[in-house]
Amino acid sequence: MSLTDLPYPVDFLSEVLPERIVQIHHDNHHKGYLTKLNEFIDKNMKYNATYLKDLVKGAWGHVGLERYAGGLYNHYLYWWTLTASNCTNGAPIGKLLTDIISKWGTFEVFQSRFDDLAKVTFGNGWTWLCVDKTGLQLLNSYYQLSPLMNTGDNICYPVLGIDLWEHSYYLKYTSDRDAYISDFWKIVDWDIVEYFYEKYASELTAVPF
Amino acid sequence: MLFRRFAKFTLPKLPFTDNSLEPIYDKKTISFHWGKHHQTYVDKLNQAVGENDYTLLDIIQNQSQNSLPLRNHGGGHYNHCLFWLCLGSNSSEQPSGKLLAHIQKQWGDFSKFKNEFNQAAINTFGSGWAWLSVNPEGKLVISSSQNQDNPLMKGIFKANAVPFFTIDVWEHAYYLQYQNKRPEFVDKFWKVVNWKQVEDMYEKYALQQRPVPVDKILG
Repeated sequence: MSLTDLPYPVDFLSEVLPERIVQIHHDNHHKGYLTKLNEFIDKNMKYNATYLKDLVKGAWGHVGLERYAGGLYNHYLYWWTLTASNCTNGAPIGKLLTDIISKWGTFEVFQSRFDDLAKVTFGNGWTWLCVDKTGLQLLNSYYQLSPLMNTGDNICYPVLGIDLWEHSYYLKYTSDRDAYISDFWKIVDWDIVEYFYEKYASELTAVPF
Repeated sequence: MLFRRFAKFTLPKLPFTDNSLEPIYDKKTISFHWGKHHQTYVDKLNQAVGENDYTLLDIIQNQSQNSLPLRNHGGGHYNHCLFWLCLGSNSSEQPSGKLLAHIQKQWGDFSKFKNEFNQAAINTFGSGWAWLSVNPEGKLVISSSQNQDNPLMKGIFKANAVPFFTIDVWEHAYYLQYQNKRPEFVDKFWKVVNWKQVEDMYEKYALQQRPVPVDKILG
């Protein structure tokens, strides 16, 4: 596997995430997960020729997969669901909006619940909007774990995640993680998130990175 | 209540000036690390302690296994205090005396010990710390922990030991200057270690199996 390029120029998110953060995050951190995953697969050839999404789904209990397949997948979802602030409507418009309102009452309440979960994450992790067999959920995970790794009926298919590791925001926001969480909404690409929701997650299928 | 309860824990003064570790560890990083991150741990620790009259050592050793906020924020306060005590300019790059002799006895030479400690620091996944401690058998042990966990924490750390030397490998500890290059930060850290203070904590506390009272030492 080689690392897919960002789906936009490196300064595309710069109203919230400056070029330097995006460049280091993608070319160093994200790529690092790919390097480590390739090393891991070299030593564990039974995982060769498995799709990334399936490596993530089967990761529970296998530290190498939890860290490196998780890290690789999570960052793809992150980059693909972000866009320039002037390229997004700031909210979904179709079935996803209807289902968010059905679950949380208003879109603002959904955002507020998402923010609350993100703010209480201690150390490294992610906050997710995902879909399980009962519908939309908000979940936290630590390190590079993903709700895709949940076993049995608890599996939850993510459509949007915020990376809360310090490397995601530190060069601009330093200790003010709450400001990053608040600004994150300006660059969410709701068109893509809705697409992932309707085509994959609602069908209880993983976005096929 | 007509008066506010006096906050129990406070952010101690740094035992060095904020620019004295340049260029290894710059003033901007120190001021955020101490003034924002460590201050936040102190504030949240005070909230978590509430009206209880715990000492910091009691929180670390005993209360941490009963309360996640005490574990996270008590750990954060203690660990950062120990970290500041380990830092200083005019580093001699390695200890002398009893501590050096002990390291050489266990590892053969200082560079083998340094490599093992560096690997513990570099290979910590996510946020955490690497530690040098004395265990109940009197041996030096290198270990690492996640988040703000500490080798003193009973019920959390499998084999408790008394730490006296540590490096913070949360990204905030080095990201402004080193970004993803944690190995470079870990390598350069040795140039700003205050060995005199570290040896003092080793001889007076760790060797006696007494936890280092970091908040009292910093005053």
